[in-house]
Amino acid sequence: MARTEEVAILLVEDDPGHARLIEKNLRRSGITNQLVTVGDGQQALDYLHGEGAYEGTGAASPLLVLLDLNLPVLDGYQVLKRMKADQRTKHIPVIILTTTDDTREVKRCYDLGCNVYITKPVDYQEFSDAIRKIGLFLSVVTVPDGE
Amino acid sequence: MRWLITPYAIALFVAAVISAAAALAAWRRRDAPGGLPLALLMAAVAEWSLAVALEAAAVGVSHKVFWSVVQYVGVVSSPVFLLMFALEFAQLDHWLTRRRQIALWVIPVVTFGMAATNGWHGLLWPSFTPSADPASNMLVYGHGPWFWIEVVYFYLLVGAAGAILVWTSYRFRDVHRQQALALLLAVPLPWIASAVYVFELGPAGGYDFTPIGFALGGLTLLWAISRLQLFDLVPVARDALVESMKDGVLVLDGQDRVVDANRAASEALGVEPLIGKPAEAVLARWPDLMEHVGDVTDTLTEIRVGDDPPRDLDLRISPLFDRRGALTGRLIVWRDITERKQAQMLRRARDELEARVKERTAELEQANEEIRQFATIVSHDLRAPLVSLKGFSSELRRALRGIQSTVEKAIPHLEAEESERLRYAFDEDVPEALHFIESSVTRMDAYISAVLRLSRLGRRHLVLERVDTRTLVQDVLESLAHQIEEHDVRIRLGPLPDVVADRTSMDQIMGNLLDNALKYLEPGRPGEIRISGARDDEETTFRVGDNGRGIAAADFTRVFAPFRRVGRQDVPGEGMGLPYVHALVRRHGGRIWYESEPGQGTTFTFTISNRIGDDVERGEKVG
Repeated sequence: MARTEEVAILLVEDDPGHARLIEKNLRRSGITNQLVTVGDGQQALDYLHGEGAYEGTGAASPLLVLLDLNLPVLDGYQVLKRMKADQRTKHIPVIILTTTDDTREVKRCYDLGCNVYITKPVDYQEFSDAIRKIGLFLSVVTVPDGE
Repeated sequence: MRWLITPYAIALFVAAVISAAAALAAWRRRDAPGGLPLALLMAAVAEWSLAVALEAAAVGVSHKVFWSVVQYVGVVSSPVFLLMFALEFAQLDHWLTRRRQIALWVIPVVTFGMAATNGWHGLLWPSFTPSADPASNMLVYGHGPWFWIEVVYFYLLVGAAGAILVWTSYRFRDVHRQQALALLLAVPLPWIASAVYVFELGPAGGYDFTPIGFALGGLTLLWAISRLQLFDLVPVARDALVESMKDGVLVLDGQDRVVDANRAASEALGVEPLIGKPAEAVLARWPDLMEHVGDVTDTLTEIRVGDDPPRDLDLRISPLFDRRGALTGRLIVWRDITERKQAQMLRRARDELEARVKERTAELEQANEEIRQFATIVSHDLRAPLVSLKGFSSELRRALRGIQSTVEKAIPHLEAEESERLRYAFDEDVPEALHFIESSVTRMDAYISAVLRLSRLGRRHLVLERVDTRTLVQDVLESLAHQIEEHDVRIRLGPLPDVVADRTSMDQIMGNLLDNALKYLEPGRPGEIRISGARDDEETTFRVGDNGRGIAAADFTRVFAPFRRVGRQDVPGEGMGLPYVHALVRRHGGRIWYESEPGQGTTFTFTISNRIGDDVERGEKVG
């Protein structure tokens, strides 16, 4: 479980309010990992590939991605699809965090290879519970080495 | 038996051969009108000619008389066959009943008998005198009383046949000029030849050229029927055809006078009789047609005549020329194509309409899909800020709780007014504000969820099956048992026919209607809810009636509108139940409406199309 500490979390979320709430709840549930927040899908991929604005920084590894679906530039589905199509990123666990609970969209995400799908409930208690579950998830999941 | 070949015998022998050939030719055309009697006639003539030839060549009275008897086979039957031919050719053969046929044959048979037994009575030939010129080897026959009976009968039949053929030839005159001529020519030949013999107008010495006359006449007829066969049409049939045609036929002569017209023409033109009238008088009603009458070439055109209602005519005007190419008249034929044109127009209109409907349907489907997507996206995007609103208001609460104890500690150190203000803000203002923010967000979220549900409903695939409505209603009532008991509601179930529908939808429709009926009962009055249904050819109708508070007339338009809750707002709800039911009913090809009396009760009625079930049986996709 010691490795959990080294996992950097990439939060792909265009709504800064949501990003902040997610971060607050993650921290509150005891997650202390580095949290990188990007606002659109392209930035997410750039970060993961160490390209564009993240040229040369090198991705903190290993990673966990919290991915919203409604994103500017590239949406969550596209990010997910490209991650799963790319050798470097296909093993990175992805948790979809979005407001829709449309069963077809949920299915589509699982088909594309996401690991967990979490609906952002309007009820804040449920919301923070969901985020805490991520914390729990992080503590049990075996995150593969990026190398 | 000795023979002496004379030119007369040779001539008749040639006639016999030609007649036999003609008989064969006619036999091959026996399916043509008159073909069979003509074949028989020519066979009889051949026999006759051959016997006459042999008689002429035979030497000795007894031999000659023998051949005379033999030739009577042909002599007596030829006029009968000729008459039969004429009748059949003129299509009067229906006159020739079996009885009449037998009657026709009486005299010929008796005559033949007379010939065969002449030796005893001499009624046919009382005397035989060798010709004055012995080299001719001819025998001159005396004529007894029966001979004259036979002659009269012969002329009667040949005369009748001739009359029929002349009449037929007259009918032919326009269409088959040459055939008409042939008929006219054929008729007198046997007459003339026979008369020459009978009345001793020709060379003396017993020469009888009648069979040759018959042979020539028969050949002419053969030619006529061979030509006619190309048309396979006899004149009378043609007349009947033209007469019964729906197309108008008008024949004008060179002076544009009507010389022939059929019934359709007189009816269309409203002039009777037409024949003999000038064209411009007859066609006065149709000036457009008159314009084309003067054309010298074949005119084929469509005109519209100003009758009431106007009619469309397909018009053909053909000038008629005689053999020298001179214009002798015109043939005008028209066909009323009004109905055909109308049918065409209707078909075109229908096709256009169908295409437009298809287009519209596609547009509507697209619009529907866009609306659904819009609803999904909007509700998605609307919900995102709510997450933050709710989240941060909770964060605020948490923060407040965090500083609560600190504030408590600080209050005693503040001035009374300040502490009062602080306490008021902490205890009243802030919690109240947070409460309203949160409850509004909750409501907003509920609305958005409802919109989402409604939009998904349009997309959900309906699974159509036979639904046992009674069981379904009973199950719904079961789930509402608590409220039913609580409000002391009496449930009355009427007949509830099965229906082919989506089970879940039916469950939701009934559930919503019954839930509403229970929710909006008049407090303090024992409730009563009636559920019934009926099926007709088109649809199955269900009714859910209650004795509740009713719906005010003013709320009529809002009952099925989303988020519109009418009446007293003392019962929780999103205002989405009826819009939802409405959408479900509509997807089942049905309608929903209600009748209500405020304070008395409301009855909701909805229908499910029976055709939606047919579609399922036909395996069509619904949804």
